[in-house]
Amino acid sequence: MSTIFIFAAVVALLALLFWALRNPRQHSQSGAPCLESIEEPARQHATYFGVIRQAMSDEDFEFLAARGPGRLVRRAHKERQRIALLYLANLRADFQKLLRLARVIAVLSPEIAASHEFERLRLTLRFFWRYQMILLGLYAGLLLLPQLGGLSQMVSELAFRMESAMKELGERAAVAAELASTLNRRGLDAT
Amino acid sequence: MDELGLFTRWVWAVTAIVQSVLLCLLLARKNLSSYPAFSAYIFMTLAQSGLLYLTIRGWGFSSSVSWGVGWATQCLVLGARAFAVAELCRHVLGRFVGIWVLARWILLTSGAAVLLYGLMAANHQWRLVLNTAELGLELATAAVIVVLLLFARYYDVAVDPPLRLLATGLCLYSCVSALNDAILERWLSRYVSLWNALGMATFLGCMLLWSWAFRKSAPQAGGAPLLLSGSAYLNLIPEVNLRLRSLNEHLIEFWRLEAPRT
Repeated sequence: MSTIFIFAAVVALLALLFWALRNPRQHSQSGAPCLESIEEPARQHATYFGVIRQAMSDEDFEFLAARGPGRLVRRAHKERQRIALLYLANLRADFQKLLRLARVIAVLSPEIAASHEFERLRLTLRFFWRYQMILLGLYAGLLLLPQLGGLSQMVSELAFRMESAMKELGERAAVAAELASTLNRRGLDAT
Repeated sequence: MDELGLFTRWVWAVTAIVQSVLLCLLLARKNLSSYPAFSAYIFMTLAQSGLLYLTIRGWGFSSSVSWGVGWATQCLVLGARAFAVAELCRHVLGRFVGIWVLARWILLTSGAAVLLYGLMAANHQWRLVLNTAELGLELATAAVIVVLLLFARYYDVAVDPPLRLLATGLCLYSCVSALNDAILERWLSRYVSLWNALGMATFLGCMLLWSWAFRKSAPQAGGAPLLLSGSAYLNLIPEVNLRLRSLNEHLIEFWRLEAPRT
């Protein structure tokens, strides 16, 4: 029995080793993640979902369900599923963008708080677990498709809030980095 | 010496040559000053090899003198390896002051936890007490390296190719050694010659990997990165965490939405 426990531990360690070693991302010269990597052009969620909301309103769906042929209803259902998946993907992209920003700040900070770092890890694990469960539910048809009206409204609001928050946080981090760089340069000049 | 078998003797000889080559490479490529603990570890394995050769030649493989010399030198080599692993951790994360403090605690805790697991999971026989201790230490070493690489990946910290190869070699060798010790505990008498050969062959493989890693001068660690001010973290991170929490809540809302009326 003991050999099996050791064997299981070794297999788990090897699997984690190879997972940790796969495809490293691009980095700055110092090896730290760079701020540029999170300054991707912002996706305009609101622009996607405005069109979607118009095309896939509740009224349209109800009208289709009542009068349209079955084939059309099924197609509309598929569209709704596709949009739900798109929304989920955007939510995940926003989450990852924020995570990258947090990591850059943590790596470049002289002091960090373990409580904040563990909270972020907990939130990350929880988010990706829920994300996978919802994805599974959508694909398996177990999850009821959300009402598009509410959904698109939610996404539009969220996209707006996220984009302004990201912009603000990015600007503040860049200012802080510039300040640190100026101070370092002054320190070098003085010596 | 005949007790060892032809394969083991050949592997031993080739390993000694590769160890010498690696030491020369470390010296010639000026990596000695950057990797003193790793260089000391390689030197000690070479010294152990020479000492064991003389002991086995003089007293025989199965003698108590060889057993004593073997385990005494092994304890020293394991200690040197621990320092080499600590050096690897410092090379990967040491430049980033904030996360390095956190990483040290996590690495020490995970190492201690896995050491405990290894000691509890092993068979407890008095004649195998050194094997059990080695098994626990090997598992702990492998765990520390894996956690280090996961930590670097989580924080998007780049690990230079020589360091990646160094980490891979140390981790692989520790895993194979732990497995080897676990099997030896079960099938002691039947497995001992294979145990020797397998351990040596793995070590030779790691030596070749490290020689490849240090074939050139290892890049000097880039200057310390420009750090943010201390207050930037305290101002920004709680806000980022708050937004991450709000995204999590949006996912929960997704479950709560009603199905369309059809």
